[in-house]
Amino acid sequence: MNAAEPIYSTRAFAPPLEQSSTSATTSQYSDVLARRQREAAAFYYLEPKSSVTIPIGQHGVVQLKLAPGTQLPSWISPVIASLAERWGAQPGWDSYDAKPTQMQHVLRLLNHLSAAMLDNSSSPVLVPLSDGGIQAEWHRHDASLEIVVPSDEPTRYYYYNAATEEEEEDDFESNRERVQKLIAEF
Amino acid sequence: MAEDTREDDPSIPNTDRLFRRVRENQLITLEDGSRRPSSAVFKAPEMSVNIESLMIAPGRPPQDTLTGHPGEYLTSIVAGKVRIHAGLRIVKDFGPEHDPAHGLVLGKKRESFANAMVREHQWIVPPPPVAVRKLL
Repeated sequence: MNAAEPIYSTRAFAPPLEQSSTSATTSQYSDVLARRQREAAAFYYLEPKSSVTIPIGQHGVVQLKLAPGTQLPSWISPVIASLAERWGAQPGWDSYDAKPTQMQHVLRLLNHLSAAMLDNSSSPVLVPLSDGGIQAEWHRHDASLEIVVPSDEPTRYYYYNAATEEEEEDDFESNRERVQKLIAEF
Repeated sequence: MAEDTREDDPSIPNTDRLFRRVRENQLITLEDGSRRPSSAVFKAPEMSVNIESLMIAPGRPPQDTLTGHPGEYLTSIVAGKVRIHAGLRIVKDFGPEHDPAHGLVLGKKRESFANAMVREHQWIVPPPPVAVRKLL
């Protein structure tokens, strides 16, 4: 690993979305993989005992800190692979005026996925947005679901089923349970 | 960034196609191996396009939009289908740094708009399909 490469870290059972940075090496923390466990063990605070470091191509390193007895969900590996493959690296990566993908928005998305997905949920495809944000997409038969993390707005979700012509578009945070149910369809 | 308040340009006909380049990392592979643009392609706050009538006048084919952009694909949406979505305007955007046929779709693009464009879009230069491995 390049010594100057920032490490983006996650903390199981951590306080909600704690973030910090230092000038020497930029570190950011979020509670990816933690929220669900934290809710399940509301009366406990367990220090993370192990971690897994995963490079996202050449774009940074995510360190996932796990609580004892937990393991990475099966959807993480395809999500990281999708990130590495699709990351918008340079300004104008879309051949127009796109901004580079920003790690803080990736972390926001990983937090949302951690909160909404089960260990055996289908992995979404991740696609960069031109504003530096990122979105997750699921597609199956006639249905599509998106969790969209724009750079300057709250996270949204979108669902469409061509067979039933059902269409939903709303804020993610206040509809997390609904999104959890939708993810289970894919 | 201050919002661009330019009004819709009525000299761009509703029947005009708007051409937009798509890169490999913006493609979604469907179950049959065909590929289509992600809705993210149609969410740029100021969405650059080439305007069909401005390409026809000097005799340029749509594929000319890809000149200088090897390895990219070209899709199209119809101006009239864009305008039915509230708040979206299409303007010409000439400038020395731009293609003479360059235009912008201005206004906030909601997910419902971007996904409607995914359903409506027509490839001009499509990506090759991906081989699908069938389970026995």
